Amino acid sequence: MRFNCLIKIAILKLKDRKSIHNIIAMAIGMSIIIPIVWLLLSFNMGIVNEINQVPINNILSFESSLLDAIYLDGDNSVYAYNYYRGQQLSDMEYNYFKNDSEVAWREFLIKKNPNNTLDMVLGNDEIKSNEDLSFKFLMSNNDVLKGMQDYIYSNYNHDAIYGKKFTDKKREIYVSEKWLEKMGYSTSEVSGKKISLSISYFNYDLKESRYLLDNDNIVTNKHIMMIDKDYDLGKLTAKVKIFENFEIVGIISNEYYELNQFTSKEADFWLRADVLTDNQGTSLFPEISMQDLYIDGNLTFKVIATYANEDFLDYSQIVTSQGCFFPFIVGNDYLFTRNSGEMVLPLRLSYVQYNDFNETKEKIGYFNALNNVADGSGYRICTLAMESLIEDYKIAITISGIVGIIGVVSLLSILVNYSQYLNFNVRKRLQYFEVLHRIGITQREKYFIFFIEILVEFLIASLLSCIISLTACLIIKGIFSLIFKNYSMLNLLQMKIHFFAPAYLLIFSLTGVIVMILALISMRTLNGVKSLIIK
Amino acid sequence: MKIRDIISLGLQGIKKHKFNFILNCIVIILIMLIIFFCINLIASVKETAIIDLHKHLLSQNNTINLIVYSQNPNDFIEPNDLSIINDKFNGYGVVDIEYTYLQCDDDVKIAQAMFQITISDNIDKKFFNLYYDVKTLQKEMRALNSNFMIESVTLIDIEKIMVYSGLYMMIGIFIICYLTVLLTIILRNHVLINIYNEIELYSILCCFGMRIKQILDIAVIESMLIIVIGAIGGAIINLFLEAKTAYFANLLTQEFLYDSSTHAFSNIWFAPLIYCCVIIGFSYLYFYLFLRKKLSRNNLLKTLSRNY
Repeated sequence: MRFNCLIKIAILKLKDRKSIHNIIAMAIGMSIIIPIVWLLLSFNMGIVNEINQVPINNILSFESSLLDAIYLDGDNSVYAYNYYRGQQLSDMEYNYFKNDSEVAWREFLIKKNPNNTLDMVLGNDEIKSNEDLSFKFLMSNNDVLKGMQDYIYSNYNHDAIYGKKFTDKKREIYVSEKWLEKMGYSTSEVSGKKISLSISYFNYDLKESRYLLDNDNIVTNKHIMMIDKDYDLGKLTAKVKIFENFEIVGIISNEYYELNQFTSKEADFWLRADVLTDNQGTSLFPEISMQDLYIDGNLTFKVIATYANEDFLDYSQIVTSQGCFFPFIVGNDYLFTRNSGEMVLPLRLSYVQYNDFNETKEKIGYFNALNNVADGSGYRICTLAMESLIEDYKIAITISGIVGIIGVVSLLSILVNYSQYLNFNVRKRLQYFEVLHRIGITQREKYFIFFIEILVEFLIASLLSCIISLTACLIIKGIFSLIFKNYSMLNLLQMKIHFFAPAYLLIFSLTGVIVMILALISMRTLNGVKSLIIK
Repeated sequence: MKIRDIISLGLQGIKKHKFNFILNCIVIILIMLIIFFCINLIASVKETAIIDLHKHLLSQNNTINLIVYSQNPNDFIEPNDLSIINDKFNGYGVVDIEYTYLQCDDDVKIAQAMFQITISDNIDKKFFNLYYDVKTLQKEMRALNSNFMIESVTLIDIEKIMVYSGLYMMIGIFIICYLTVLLTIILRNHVLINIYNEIELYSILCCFGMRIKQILDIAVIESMLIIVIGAIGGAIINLFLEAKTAYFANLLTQEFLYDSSTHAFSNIWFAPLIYCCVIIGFSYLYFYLFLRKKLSRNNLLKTLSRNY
């Protein structure tokens, strides 16, 4: 028989009322699965992935109180002694952060003071300034800017940071546009130039240096430090080198600092952390200590800055007016709490950014474990945004799991039902197939007619289910957005309308394939009953 | 005809299609298991949320801490701002204010202030008023200065407990409705297929004078048996999983919402029972009202005359 005749015979069946019922049933079956698949895709692929890629919320703030040896004595004086580590990252922290994938930074600020000047050499120009200066150290070697660039390029102005990434040359630096404007430079004329920075102190009052603490990484170096508001620490006259001959490889534009939260503390320079490490990885952060010094034969109590890997020199015979002082601790970075004048607890804040949510989650686990080991006295992680994201993530995973199970069960039940229907359909139409056989239609052509019938039914049911399920999904979405309109995770869900198309595609292709396989299986039944008919 | 004979005839189909029967039973057990889980979830979510709210407040010594600060480190909190906030919350019993100072040169400024508000044990109107007041104040303060923040971890947690409770409840209702529709469709199809398979038997029975209602009973008995097996199986697995591992509590990983020691899951045993009775009654009514047309005396006699 001709091909188009076979098709016509198959389509004739569609006029049958039972066939219309079947199409409607199939359409309803698919329609009720589509919202489930849509929810599954929205929660799992949409929200979970969205959370995974949100770097703005991956900023952690580690807040830790100083460990021990801080107590109040009288109204105004506080003593800190023992192995107090100051505000610098500890060995463990440093080793942890220096891996390539993480970015951590610390910020330091030199407050302007009439007794100090900032000396900058940019190219061949020499500039003196007494402006405030802040630094940001990036504690990583390679791809350190990746996270930030992803963040910036994906969300904000494309020109927020520009230039090259840090290479292995070490002596490279990022300079802020704001700083350059202060100094009277435009961004285009500084790129690739060398820059040096130092601070000159002249009779600098060290009263503020009660915040200057021992910052070395050698635990065995004991430095007893007395902090007393009224205690005169002396005057410092010195020229302190901060960095020398660093190449400007990139510019941090003003737009960058407009980004909320991320840059609450603005940095004028970004340097690599390993600028201050030697080839063995030992930290070269200078340490500040106070010693009795003989200056001009007189014993004086002075602040000394040295690098940590140097032995504690006997300064007693050396008059020093030149050192490598580094101002670690500053007013803006130094908070303390006071409750009715009874308790003074210095705090510190560190900011760490990770490239993605999963990594951050792991690190939080790490720090919590560290906290447990440290008997609760170490870190207190206060990351509301992150905690909120973790909870959203858990909820999204849980809901995806529940919805996924329901989807599987639904699909299974519909399949069982449909296979029963197909078997029944074949058995019920034995007479019809017998008539076809009598008018000379071969077994193969019968299969073809049956197959086309199912296929056409499936296609019409698919179209019908599109309309029904789209309405259902919009209703679900409407209810969600109405009730949870102020809630972040469900706001994300509202945006996932584009998962309708993949949901349809998935369901139609899956159901189509399964229906066709079931049709083939049912045709075997048709083959089996042929002998009975003829008999 | 005796009931025993009706049941015996009704169960004939099971012998013929054992495999289909078992498959249907498994599917219905799975569906019932999920439905019972959702019923338990809805029934216990409010109770558990209140328990969690109480526990959460107790862990905070019935104190809510409001932290007031500016996102911009160069902004400080002025005493005037603090007095506005203090006035707002004074009615709720502010017990203490803790300040975080920032030392800049010789000035000491307030960088952050923490209000401690003690509330009663009851999750009452006053508690929710406080919650909404904080929300309003947050908006007002941010309108004045976009860097100004009023945060409360406790209130955020409380908000989460409430929002997630609502979310779970909604999803539970959605799933129950969805699966009920699915269940009805499955049963309907099953009964229809059963009728068409056995139509010759029914027409013969009709010819011998059996009442249509009895024939209908024979037709639906298998489906009813599937529901009952599914319900019992689902309930047993539900109880087993729950008793064994606090499975559901672990499944819902929000520990503040479902603490395995306090969750009220296992107490609600009657809700699945009610659901089961309702669905069986509803299905039977549906079959009786709508499938009767398929089993009319005329139809059955026509079938008989066509076949023989």
